[in-house]
Amino acid sequence: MHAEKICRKANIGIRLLPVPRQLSSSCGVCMRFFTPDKPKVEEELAANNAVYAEIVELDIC
Amino acid sequence: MNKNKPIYFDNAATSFPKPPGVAQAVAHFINEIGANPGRSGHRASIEAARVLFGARELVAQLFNVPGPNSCVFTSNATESLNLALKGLLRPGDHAITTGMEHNSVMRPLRALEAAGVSVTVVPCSAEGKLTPADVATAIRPDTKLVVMNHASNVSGTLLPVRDIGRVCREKDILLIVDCAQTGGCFPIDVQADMIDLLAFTGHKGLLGPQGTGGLVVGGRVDIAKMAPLKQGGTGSGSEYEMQPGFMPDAFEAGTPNTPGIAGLAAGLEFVLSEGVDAIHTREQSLMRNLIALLRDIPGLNIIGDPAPKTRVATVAFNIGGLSPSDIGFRLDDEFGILCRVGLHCSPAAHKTLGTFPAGAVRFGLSYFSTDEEIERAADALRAIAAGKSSS
Repeated sequence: MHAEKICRKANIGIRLLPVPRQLSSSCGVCMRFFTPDKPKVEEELAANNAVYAEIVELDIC
Repeated sequence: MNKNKPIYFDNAATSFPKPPGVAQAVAHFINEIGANPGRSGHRASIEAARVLFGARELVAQLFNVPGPNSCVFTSNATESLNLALKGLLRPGDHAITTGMEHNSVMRPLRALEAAGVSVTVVPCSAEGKLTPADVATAIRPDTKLVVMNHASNVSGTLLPVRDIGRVCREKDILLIVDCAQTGGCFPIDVQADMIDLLAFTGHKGLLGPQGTGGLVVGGRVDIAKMAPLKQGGTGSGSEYEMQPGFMPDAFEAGTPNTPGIAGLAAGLEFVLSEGVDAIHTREQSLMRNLIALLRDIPGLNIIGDPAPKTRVATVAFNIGGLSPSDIGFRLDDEFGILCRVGLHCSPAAHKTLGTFPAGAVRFGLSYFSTDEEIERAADALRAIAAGKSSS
């Protein structure tokens, strides 16, 4: 939720959704965004001390 | 029984009324959102998680906490204090507390004492005041922490938290503060006040519903060495059967009281928008008026320092020759004034203040109390003290 607030504030296009089966069987939520935005996302999250498990690149669509 | 609109002077027990947004927020959550926060990935669960996270951010803002995830939600300050004390103290450790504590501190400490933790209760003066040097003297090589309240729920007098924080930093021990009586009505800054663990309740000065509260855990606490009170589902790390070790999930298991926390968020928004300083100033003004009127009533004596520089909106008193329960009953039945009599779950404080075992009558005002209510209450007490009835 912290990551969502930070990215929305930084105008990065994101979507929250259940963690895809390829990544985990957890009942958690993840944040999806486009690969080109990865550096900006990492920067914003670090600047705001957001804690997250990992960023994984997937080939979807 | 007096049928006029009652005067609610028991805010030290729980605050009433709440700002209008609070009930609305609870109803809105139940009627429109409803889902279990963060467990499912659907839009309603995500919205519920936003409510929860939003409340953490408001707590962080109010108490100047560096990150919202340092705010664990519990059902009340008592649970928070149990979590902190039982989480951190092991047999062989030494803990220090004061002579003005509520049973939410004393009872877990006495239970821990029976299990091998040594406890020192630093005495306070007969007026309920604490000398920081006395706390410093009590510290030993095996001392793990100091636990203290910010303001007494009996006499209303503030304890010198920042001075004790400084002592704890100098001696490299932890400070747990019970801010049940000060949260939302007196400025608290966990960083400037050097508080390591802050136990707060949602249903008093934070103006939220009962069943909410929390513990703010500061950076000096090694959470790997702090045992949770319970383990269970958190919606994270579900592939493991071990409780996660990160904040706040380490100390939150099971579905939270999300409707309550939605209400707490509305209470926090109200407090932040009015401003804690404005609330404190208003309450101080009310107390000045009340105490001036009380001092004028023959036979009535105020417990503790009647005119401390700053206090919270709580005052305890007795009337010579009358029992507190008789006074309380007459106040309710004849005059419609609601307050709490007895020992206020703080036998230690009453022993220090000299009102044990009979106890006292306690008025707890709030930001919403009025000068007119104060005058009516003083008139009622004058009549009771003079042995007259209301008719």
